[in-house]
Amino acid sequence: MSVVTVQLGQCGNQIGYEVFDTMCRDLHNTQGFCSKRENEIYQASCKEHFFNEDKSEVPVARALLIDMEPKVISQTLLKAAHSGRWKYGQHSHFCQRQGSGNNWAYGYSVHGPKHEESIMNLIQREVEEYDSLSGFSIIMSMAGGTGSGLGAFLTQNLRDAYPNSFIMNQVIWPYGTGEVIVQNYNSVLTLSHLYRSSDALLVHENDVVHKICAKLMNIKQISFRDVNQVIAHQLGSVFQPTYSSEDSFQYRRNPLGDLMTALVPHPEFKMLGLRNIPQMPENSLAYTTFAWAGLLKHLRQMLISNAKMEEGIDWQVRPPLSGLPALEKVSPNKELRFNTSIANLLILRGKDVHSADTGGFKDPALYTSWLQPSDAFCEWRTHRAFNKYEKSAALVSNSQFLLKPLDTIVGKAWNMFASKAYVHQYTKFGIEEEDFLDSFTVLEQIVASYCNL
Amino acid sequence: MGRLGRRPRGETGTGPGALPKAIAALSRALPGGPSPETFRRAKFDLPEAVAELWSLLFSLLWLIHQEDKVSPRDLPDALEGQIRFVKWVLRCHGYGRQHFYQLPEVGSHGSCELLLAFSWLLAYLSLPEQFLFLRCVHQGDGVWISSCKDLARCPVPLALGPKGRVDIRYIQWLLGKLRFHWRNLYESQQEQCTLLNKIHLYTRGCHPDQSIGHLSVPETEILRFPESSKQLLQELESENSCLEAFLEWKHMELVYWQWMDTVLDTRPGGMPNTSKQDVFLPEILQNYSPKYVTREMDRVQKNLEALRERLQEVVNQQRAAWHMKVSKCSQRLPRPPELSTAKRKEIQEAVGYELTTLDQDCGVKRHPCGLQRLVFRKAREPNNSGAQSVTKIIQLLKREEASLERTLRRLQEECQQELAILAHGLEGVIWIPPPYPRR
Amino acid sequence: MAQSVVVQVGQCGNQIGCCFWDLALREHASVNKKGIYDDALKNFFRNVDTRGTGISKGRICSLKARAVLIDMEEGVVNEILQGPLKDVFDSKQLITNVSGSGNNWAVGYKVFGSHYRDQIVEKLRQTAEHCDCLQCFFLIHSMGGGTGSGLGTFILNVLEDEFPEVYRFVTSVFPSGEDDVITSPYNSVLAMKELNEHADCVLPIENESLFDIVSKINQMINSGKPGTTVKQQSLVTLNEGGIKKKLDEKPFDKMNNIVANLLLNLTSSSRFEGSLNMDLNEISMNLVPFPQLHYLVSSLTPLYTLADVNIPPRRLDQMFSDAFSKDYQLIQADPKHSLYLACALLVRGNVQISDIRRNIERLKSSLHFVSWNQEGWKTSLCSVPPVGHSHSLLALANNTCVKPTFMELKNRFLRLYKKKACVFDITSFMERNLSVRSLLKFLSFLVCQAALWESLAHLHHYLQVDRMEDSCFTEAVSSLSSLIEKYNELDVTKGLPIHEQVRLNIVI
Repeated sequence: MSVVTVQLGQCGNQIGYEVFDTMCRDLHNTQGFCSKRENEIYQASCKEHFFNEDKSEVPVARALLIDMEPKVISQTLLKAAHSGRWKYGQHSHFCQRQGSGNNWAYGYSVHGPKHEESIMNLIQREVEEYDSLSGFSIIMSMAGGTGSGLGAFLTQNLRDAYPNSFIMNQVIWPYGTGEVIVQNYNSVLTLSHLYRSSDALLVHENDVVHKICAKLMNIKQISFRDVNQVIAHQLGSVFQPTYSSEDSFQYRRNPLGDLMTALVPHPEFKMLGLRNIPQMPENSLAYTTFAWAGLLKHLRQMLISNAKMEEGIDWQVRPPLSGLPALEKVSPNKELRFNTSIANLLILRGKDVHSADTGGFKDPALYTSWLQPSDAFCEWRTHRAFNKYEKSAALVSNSQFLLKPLDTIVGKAWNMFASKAYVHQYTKFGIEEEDFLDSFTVLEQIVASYCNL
Repeated sequence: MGRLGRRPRGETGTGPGALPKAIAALSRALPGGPSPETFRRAKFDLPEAVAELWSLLFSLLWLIHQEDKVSPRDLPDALEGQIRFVKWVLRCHGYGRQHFYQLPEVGSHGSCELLLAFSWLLAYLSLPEQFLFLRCVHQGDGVWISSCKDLARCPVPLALGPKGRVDIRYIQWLLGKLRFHWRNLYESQQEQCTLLNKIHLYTRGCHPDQSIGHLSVPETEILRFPESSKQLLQELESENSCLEAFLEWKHMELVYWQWMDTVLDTRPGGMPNTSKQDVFLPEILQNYSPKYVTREMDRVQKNLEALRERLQEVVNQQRAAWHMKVSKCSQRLPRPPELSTAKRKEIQEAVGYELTTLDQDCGVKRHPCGLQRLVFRKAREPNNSGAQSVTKIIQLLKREEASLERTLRRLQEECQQELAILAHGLEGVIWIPPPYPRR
Repeated sequence: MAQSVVVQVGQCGNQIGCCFWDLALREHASVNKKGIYDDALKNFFRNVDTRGTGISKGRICSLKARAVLIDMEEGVVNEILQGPLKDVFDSKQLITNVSGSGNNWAVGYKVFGSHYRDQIVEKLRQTAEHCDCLQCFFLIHSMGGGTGSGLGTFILNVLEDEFPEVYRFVTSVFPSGEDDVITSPYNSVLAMKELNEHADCVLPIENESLFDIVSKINQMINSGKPGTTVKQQSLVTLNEGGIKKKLDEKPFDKMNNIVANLLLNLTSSSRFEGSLNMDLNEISMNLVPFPQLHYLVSSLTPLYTLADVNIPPRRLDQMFSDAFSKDYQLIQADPKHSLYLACALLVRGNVQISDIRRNIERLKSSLHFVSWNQEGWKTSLCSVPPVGHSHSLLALANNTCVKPTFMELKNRFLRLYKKKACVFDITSFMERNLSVRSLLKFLSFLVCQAALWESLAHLHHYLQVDRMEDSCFTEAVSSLSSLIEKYNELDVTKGLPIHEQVRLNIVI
């Protein structure tokens, strides 16, 4: 079943390119630690989800590139064509000549309705080619104007046009300081609108990925390209083919749908975080050996102590003992020591994957009281290795991971709103103060729901 | 168990070896069939038959009630688990005999009760017919059509919390899962239809039967891989033998029921049945003689007609009286206010909806149910075979869907209003009703 | 790809404008080796063939600037048209007159404005029609004179009326205290009112600061210290002779070049590619929290590059530190000791996001930001550096340090305006206290004095103009006062402890 990737804005297009590039490189990777036949099936399965076959035999990515100004799209198209391994479709892009100026209201109320018909036609033409549509994966940033405003508008439209498809938004959480000044307003408006139409929001925090680049990948001068490549690696480890069940050797037909069913059936809890282990510079890979026990132990502790990467984990944090009365409502202002999960999906790839012991993730103390681990925990194991890592594990988690960042953004936006700064820039294009208040309400509700786990 | 009247004995013309033959036929008609010896032991409530009967019941019910290919891990292999499953299914279907539910889960005694339960199931679920259907070979491309009323049979067992209550968030979680499964199903069906369309278009003109005109997927597979025709032949042969066994069973069925009567006589009476589904023995077989049947039917028909005439008279009288009353009253009442066109239209629409709903509720199910064969037709070709067009079925189903949605919306509004009234009392609080999730 | 149009008004405006075009050509020449008319060039230039029709793609034939040149005196424009840039401008893009505005805002605004309105609209429309997506107007003028100030702000009004969706960026050169034009305070304050109401963004520049920067560079060049030879190409004050040959260079040319560089760097991210692009509308969006507070203090670093390549990369961090020092600001202000409302860093060249973030972290603690915008930073990265440099930084700050400039302006205005008031006060006093004859004598003497004093106040030059009244002055000064008041309110909050606003409470 096909997954359509919609790349929105500068951020979305740059990351989307890296994702497809990583997947392609992985497909051509000879160190998959499996037989040639197995590799061929793996390639076929990946292509079924993400690529079209062209007359020229170069796979064409199932993606749409949308931006309001042309520079980034033309660059992206060129880079893909030059790689020789894959490319974008000739007519799968849409761009205008002038951007949204970091203004959510402009993206939502002006660009959105103006270009609604053209963009939806473009998507429809693309979708008609497929035998089956699993869903949409929309890559966008929250801080800018196009990705955020137009992204929210587009997600709403997609939901109306395709009510039976899964929609996942890959949301890029901006740096705490210094990308865009009105990023908190843009983020609040985006998140509240997305919550109504999207099924899942998979969040990638720039700050976290930046630290991974600095501490784990040892990159001295970190560029956006490095950040994007780490995000692409993480996404690839989730979406590359996996076996459909423990004893089957058939690849899963609907990874997007299965992921959603496992993690986000509850309409109030849609925020997903992603953790990957191990992450290291490519040239160190050959000198390191991994053991499943060690990897899983670290990953579990990363989950419960809300660590962002495998360095600097707080090993003091432990799950609460069962039998004790439930903890009182935790305020997000206090240091959230223990991270309660609603649901977790563990994806294991590599050598001896069937021998890995995941019992640590089935402990009921990790999960909220109203879900049993049998409902809440799901694992996918595949023995074909990913991206030259002999063993790798990815954890997609619906938990309190994002409680603190969300709360921080809402707090800052509220402070700014209280002094009415920048509000005139939004009211100019039809977003009134009531709309702001609505958005704040939705987000406070989400914060409260996650607090009360 | 209740039954209507004693049936005349000796009319069936059966001999002394008839019962074992009947049971043998039954055993061939059911998978993992029971042996006559087990039945005999069970009649006399001997403990040796208990385990066999429990496992027979379990395997039959499991086969019928499993949804997809259930992973073998989920199959309860312990006897306790199997017994619990069987009891649960029978309770869902409304089997009212308390002695059965009181049987211990260790499988020590009660084979006669088990026999009674087995026979009840045999009649109520029409087990032989079900298995015949399950084992039949489908050559066409099938699609399932069913509506909510068919599906609402077995309740879902919920994991109860420590205080016996369920967290509402868990219910919302399950609802969400259901919604997603539905979407997956929908997409799979879409994909299947697209692919079927391709095959049907490609193979038009190939089928010997002109009314169908194209090949189905199984037929295409046979063309592509001729070796598989051997397997098909085997399947058809096995289906044949099932059919033969079934027919034999049908001939000998009465013997079995007569014998079951004697078994029932030996048991203490069950509790008076308060559930809606009464257990009964197939009525028709009790009055087997055709003459008797026709006589009875004539008599019943005459009674019905007489009743209908009387009813009609009464109705006419009542209607006349009502009209008089209304005309008297309306003369006394002031003129009703003039309705605006918009309001009139609204009322007309509402009345129209109510009428169609009533229509649907009272009328027979007009769309076919169960597994149907899909045949491709071009838009303007005449439909000679009497089959229903999918477009019509879709319309009917859409109407059903719309009426269900209206009911849902009405219930949601009522809930919201109640909650709003409650929240009204709280000071300084703004009530924000939750958005209802779409599909 | 959006296009921008430059409207240069008055003597100062046209001189700066000319330097700008010269530098733009130089920059594009060094980047665009193949001579193809690409999107970057399209921003400011049209490509025309020999008959004058536009060509949208392909090789460069003849480039024409998207500009409108307006001056009420012919001198400067004629020089441009006779200099090396004559082919860049079209005769259809000019509006000139011979008489000049006499350093009178009212003449520029009311007289020439109404006279030339139609022509101006016509020329602007023509220029706009040549653009397929017009994003922004850059208006360059000075505040102290008559044409730049009066006609310039009139054109600002016209732009708002005719092209309401296009952004208006105004580069205004404010007069210094020792300006030789006496009426410059009047002109400036009257023009300020227009800027307050009709501009989207204003980049104030003061000649004094430009002069200081030029002196600093000269000192550097002439210091003769070892290891301090400067790459000539990299001087921010250099141009390759747009108006005059190097020998005839006036001191103003160097100063104008700084402003020209400012404009180039401002638009670099929307012309060239980069890993974090920034369009011009993003500047307005991020740096203008309240509609009236749209004055942005700018600073440009580095001013030069040393020729010695062995200097370690500490230069990069030094560049960031310099941008916040008061010596590099283009107005006489010290942003470090005032309150920041927002700040934008436009970086060009081989700099990565981690360098920017590191420097922001480093500098944050020494700057005061307003309580509701503690992380008020906007960054952009353009990969093409300016000519002669490997990297450069333009910092734009919305900072309350503009307040002293405005207050100074207001004070100068009031000092001048009060002279007129004095006249009437004395007369009324005398009327009450003396006998009739001596009164008459004294009065006649005073009337002569009054006329003299009034001429000192120069008001009659203004009031003579049609539709110009006293109320224009009072409105202008009150508009300026309210602006200063707004900055005051914000300044008061500086240094106060930040308290979090009470959030919405949700009950589940």
